[in-house]
Amino acid sequence: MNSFNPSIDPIDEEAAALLDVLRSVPEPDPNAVQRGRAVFLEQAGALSQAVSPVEKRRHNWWNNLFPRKEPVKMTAFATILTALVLLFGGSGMTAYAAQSSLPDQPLYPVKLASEDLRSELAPNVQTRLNLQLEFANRRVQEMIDLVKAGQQPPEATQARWEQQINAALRLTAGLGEGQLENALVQIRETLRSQEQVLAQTQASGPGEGILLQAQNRVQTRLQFVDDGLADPQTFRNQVRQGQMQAQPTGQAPGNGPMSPNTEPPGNGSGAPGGYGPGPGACTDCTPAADGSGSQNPWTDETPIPGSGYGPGPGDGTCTDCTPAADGSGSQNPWTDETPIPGSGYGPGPGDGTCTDCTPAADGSGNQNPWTDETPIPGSGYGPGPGDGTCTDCTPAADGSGNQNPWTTGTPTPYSGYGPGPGDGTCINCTPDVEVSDSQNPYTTGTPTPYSGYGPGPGDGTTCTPVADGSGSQNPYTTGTPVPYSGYGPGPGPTPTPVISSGGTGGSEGGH
Amino acid sequence: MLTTAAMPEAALLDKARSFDRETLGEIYDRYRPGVYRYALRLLGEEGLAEECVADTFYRFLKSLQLGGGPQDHLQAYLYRIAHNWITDQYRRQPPPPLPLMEELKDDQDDPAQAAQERIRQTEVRHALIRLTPDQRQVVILKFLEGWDNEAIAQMLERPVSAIKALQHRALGSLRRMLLRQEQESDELI
Repeated sequence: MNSFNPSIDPIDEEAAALLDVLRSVPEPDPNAVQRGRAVFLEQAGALSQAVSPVEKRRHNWWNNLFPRKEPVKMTAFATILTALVLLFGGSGMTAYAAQSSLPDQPLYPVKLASEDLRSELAPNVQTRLNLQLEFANRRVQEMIDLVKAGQQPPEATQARWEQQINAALRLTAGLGEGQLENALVQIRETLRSQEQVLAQTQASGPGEGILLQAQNRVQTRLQFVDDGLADPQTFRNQVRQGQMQAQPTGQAPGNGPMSPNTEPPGNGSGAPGGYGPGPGACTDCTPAADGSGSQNPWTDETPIPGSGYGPGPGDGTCTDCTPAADGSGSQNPWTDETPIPGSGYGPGPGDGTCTDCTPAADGSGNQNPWTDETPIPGSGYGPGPGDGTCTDCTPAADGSGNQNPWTTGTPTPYSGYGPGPGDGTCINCTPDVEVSDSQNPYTTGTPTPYSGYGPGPGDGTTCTPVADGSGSQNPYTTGTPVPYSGYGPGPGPTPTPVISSGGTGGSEGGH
Repeated sequence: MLTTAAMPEAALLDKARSFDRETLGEIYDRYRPGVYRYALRLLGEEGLAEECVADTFYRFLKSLQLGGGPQDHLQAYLYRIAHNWITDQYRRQPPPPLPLMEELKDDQDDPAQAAQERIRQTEVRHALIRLTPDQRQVVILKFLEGWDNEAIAQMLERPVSAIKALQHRALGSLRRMLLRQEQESDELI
């Protein structure tokens, strides 16, 4: 199956020639392969402990009151330690980073480690800069996801965001004149977009304060970048001296120039336990009110009460304790709150063996892990009660569809799934949420910029899509076209979206 | 008794379900190179491709742990996970613009030629990314990995006729995109 055998079909030959440039792939680093294998087998060993049959629990009403923790947590924790040891023991291996994990999840440290590795492996400054900004965006998204899930983002996430923005600024300061300006503009756009997303996020309770704090930090950096654009030389000098933010008033002393603008440790209002950033090198000590604890990795500023970080007196090894706002819990970073979709944790009291139950917001489901990424084929995630074999049925919002794991809602751009029951070959049908024309993977929602998706059946080259679908698959937009609105920015080299109001019609469609 | 190296796929999967270490090692050795190649061709970055491979095999283990995973066609299953991972990656982070010529120069004997080749690779990769996920998979598996239509049909769980149709449309789109890029490059020169 895998030996390449070019067909005599001239079309195949032409295609092979087109793709020839990608045929040669450099061999992977043998050390990376070995480490990858070792990590894989370690993971297998850790996961296999949970494979043995689990004693069935009787479904009593008290199960809901006292839900059991999942057995996976402890094994995942052990696996992370192994993975991290291997990660930092050599080059080129990124273990099993879970890209969708959030700060309160077991795989999160591996995600961060893999980011560091990617940054190290980046071939040039521009790529490294892009990565730092991409990672900073991830931090913002993580904060928002946590707040939306009713949790408080840990201080460490903001600190990490800051490190990544600082790294981007340092890289920028090392660039030549013209490049420096371009890079600053790029950072400014990233920060603006982050500021906008943070401002648009609806939050209440403690999460609101965290997002406001994050927004302030973004604004401070924005000001610094704007100043840098006005005076690049001063920018360079300031970065060299580590002064990478517009100088605020009331700066907390003692934490260095890159430290966030916060109150000194132990003085934070309502922070019980007095934990803070002691001066030690210990990473798993219990911080103390007088700051003598350690350089606790979770925070270098006043921690947020109940944030799930470091409040307790434990030794940091407990993985299923419940952290408490009064500090009586443990160093357990995990959550006992409603799990976040995609976190891999489920709310219910099940025994963790059920793979096709529907988790419920009220916790009555089971331990079926949620996901907001593309589910793993065959993983058993899905809304419906089907037998799990159908992979192209139409899922239904009421769960009556089947076990199709993909979606009951509007398909995600690039997810490759559409609502229709067609044969999957049609790539230019208009999807229809009521009665579908096809398995057209395109969206009925707002098309994604650069996705090349358009509403019409055209030839996908240069046409303007129109409201009746007769336009084209115009791939050219860089803006966000309104679905079926009958406009498209056209094929120009610097396209500008034309905002047309209220479903403009076919007259705009031109070829 | 068969060694794991000589074991057919179905037998391997049976033993893998009990987390037999030797069997899992064999599965890793057998399928890792292909998954890595596939990821690297589409992602263009070694670190990212390693991440994809690691996560693919981890997800496979998780499926086994949950009592799922494939009954057969393990290779197709692993490629499908990798494919979804890559699709998610692009959803999170659309591809950056094409790099400038100056950024691509390196220490090779002929830097200009090396840079040219990397630009071409990036162009083709970008064109592939703009295909639909299924089209992309069909094109790569058929023309770069050398799979036949039947194997691809098994992987995508579609009839062979659908694979041919996907392939036909994918090549048409690729041709148009690459031709247009060529014209734009010519105009710039």
